[in-house]
Amino acid sequence: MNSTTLEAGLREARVLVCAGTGGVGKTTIAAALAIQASLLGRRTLVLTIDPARRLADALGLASLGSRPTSVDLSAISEQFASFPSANLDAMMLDAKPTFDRLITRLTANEEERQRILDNRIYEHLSSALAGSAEYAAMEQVHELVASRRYDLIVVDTPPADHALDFLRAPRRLREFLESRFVHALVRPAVSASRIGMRLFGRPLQRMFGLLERIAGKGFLDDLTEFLRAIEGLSSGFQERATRVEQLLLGEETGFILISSPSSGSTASTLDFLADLDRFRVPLLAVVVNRLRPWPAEVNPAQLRSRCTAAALERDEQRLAQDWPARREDTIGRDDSNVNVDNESAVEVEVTADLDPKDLTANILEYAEICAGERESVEVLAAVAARAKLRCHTVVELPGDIDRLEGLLEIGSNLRSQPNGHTREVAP
Amino acid sequence: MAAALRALIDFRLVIVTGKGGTGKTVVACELAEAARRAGKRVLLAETGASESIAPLFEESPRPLGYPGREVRPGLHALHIDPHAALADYARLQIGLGAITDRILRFETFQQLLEAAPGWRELITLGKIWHLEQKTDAKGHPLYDLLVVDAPATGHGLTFLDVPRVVQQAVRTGPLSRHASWVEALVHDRERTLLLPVTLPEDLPVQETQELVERARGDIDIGVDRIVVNRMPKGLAGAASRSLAAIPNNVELECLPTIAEMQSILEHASRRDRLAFQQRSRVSKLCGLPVIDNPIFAAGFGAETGWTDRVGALLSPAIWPDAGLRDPKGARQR
Repeated sequence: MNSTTLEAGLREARVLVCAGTGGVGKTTIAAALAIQASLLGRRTLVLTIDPARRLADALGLASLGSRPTSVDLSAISEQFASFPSANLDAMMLDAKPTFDRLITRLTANEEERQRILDNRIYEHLSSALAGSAEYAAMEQVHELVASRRYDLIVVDTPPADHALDFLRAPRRLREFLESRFVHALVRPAVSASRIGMRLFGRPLQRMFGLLERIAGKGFLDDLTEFLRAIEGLSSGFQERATRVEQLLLGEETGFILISSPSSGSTASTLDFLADLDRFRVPLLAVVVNRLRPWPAEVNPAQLRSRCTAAALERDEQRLAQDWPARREDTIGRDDSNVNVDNESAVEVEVTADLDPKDLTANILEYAEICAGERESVEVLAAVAARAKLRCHTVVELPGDIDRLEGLLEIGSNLRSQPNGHTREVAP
Repeated sequence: MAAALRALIDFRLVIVTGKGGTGKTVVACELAEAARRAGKRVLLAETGASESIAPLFEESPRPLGYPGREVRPGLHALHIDPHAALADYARLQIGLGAITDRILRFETFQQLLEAAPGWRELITLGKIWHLEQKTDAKGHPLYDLLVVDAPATGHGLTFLDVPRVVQQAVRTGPLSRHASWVEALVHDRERTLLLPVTLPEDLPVQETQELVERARGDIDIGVDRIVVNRMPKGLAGAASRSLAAIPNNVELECLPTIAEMQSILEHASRRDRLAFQQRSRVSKLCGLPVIDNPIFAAGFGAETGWTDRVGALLSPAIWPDAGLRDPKGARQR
């Protein structure tokens, strides 16, 4: 790509990976970016993982398996009337069975395949090797790219303890398979009987002995059987892993790092960023998602210091002059008679006698939250700037994203910030 | 509905769980602090891959590490690293010698061990069991309450899937025997409680339902309430309507303008409404009452004052659809 920006990614990349810690809205951003790319006339696929119910509804994925389905952009027909070529597919990724599929692809025959899939170590190892499911997902991306059906594939990544488990997994598995002890275990002369272990000398014997005491009798036999079963796959696996790695770290791929503006999330995003850097991942931009809206003319951090107790009291007295008398008010909704899936709940009138103090307390608390969020954005923007990257912000929408309009709004919001975050958080 | 639930701090072992991003670590810290303030001797155990508890208690935090330390009088915190716990276990329980330590540190040994199903969870839970059993010189339990911040992966419940581990992986030997003791602790309704933490949002609520179903199914652990974290007070709507009566040209000294406040409150009230809907939804889906843990604007650090508001977690669980419609009234009750 010519430049490292979100816009360049949308126009030129073949793969956009939305990465970030759990709960930050990766799926939403991935869908919003995919819509923008399709508006640019690119044939686009968004690959989502475990979308929220309403987002799945928005994308028409509610009843969908793991096959590309066309997203009905005419649902927002007004905006799309001028983009007749917009072409967007969505597909849900089920990470679990894909590792099985990988084994299926790599094995020569049914018998060999079953032997691996039935092994209880396989079941555990394929999930315990943190990130192997994520890796399997990337395998799928690789296949879709190779198919040339799409100009761009936008990928949502699964929540992971460690950011780049999907990049690390193939390496770890490869290192494991190549280690001396594993080779020792699968060498035919020794594998069948533990008597053969005498050949290894005392340290190894102790080690295997300890393993069995911890993991239980029969563990080594199972492990040996498993390792022998997959030994033949090793070279095919390595070749594929290398290709996937080349795709993800190559010219045609861009990563978008997504964070939430809470301080806890910022800390893990910074760790994530360092990790991405270690892998030399082609990062395009940082996106801080769901920033609470706050009037641009007021600095929320300064508001608190400006509002001394005396000044606040004078304001409250001023408000009290015009304050409405105690009245019937609506707070929330009455959900008691409402089906959970039907959220067209009826409004009920509830009494609340708020006074100006309640109002000011509410505003000041909200200001403090917003100040904290903007501080997080500053921290992330500074780190991004050092890496010559832009930090975009997405303002929280007033409702859930249950229709394509919401995604369209987020996407155009992202693209309308050519200079990153400065517009948002200027004091 | 059911009678008042037992106070959280009257259990022996509370396992706090929830997906990443729900704030379960903060809730675990708040519960431990609340119990300490109530005079309990508390152990707070972190189990994730990386540590995050120490910065909540200490200005310049050092890693808690394995033995851990008192972060407040009466509150001992530690990070259970499975490898360290395994070394401990091998030494104390299996009775292996010094050579064991060296073997345990072998990278390949650790890699091979990764292939052994469930050892990590079992050893971690085993350590918790061991800490639960600990007594002081007089024979009294060393801790009144153990609060565990469960791992965030796989709903945090794989962690508790001890029966599977026992049956499939460890068929004989001392570990199998120890596993059955640990299992008994997990299933014990008297001593142990699983405390799910959720956010009042669509996806976390969906995930909490799955978690509670599993807890009641094959995991078989007590769960009787849900913590709804970062819950708004729900006053923005009423405040917005009161503000609507104030003329727009009223000059204020320090607050934002009337119009600015109105736009803030409008947004906040719509988000509040969603939060109240989701709180009611999670309660219905799971058939459990909820505890509101209010949003805390100042954030969580050693000096932010979060420790002064931990009492919210100990307030009675409520059924959000049972007529509690006035959050302000609830607050004053």
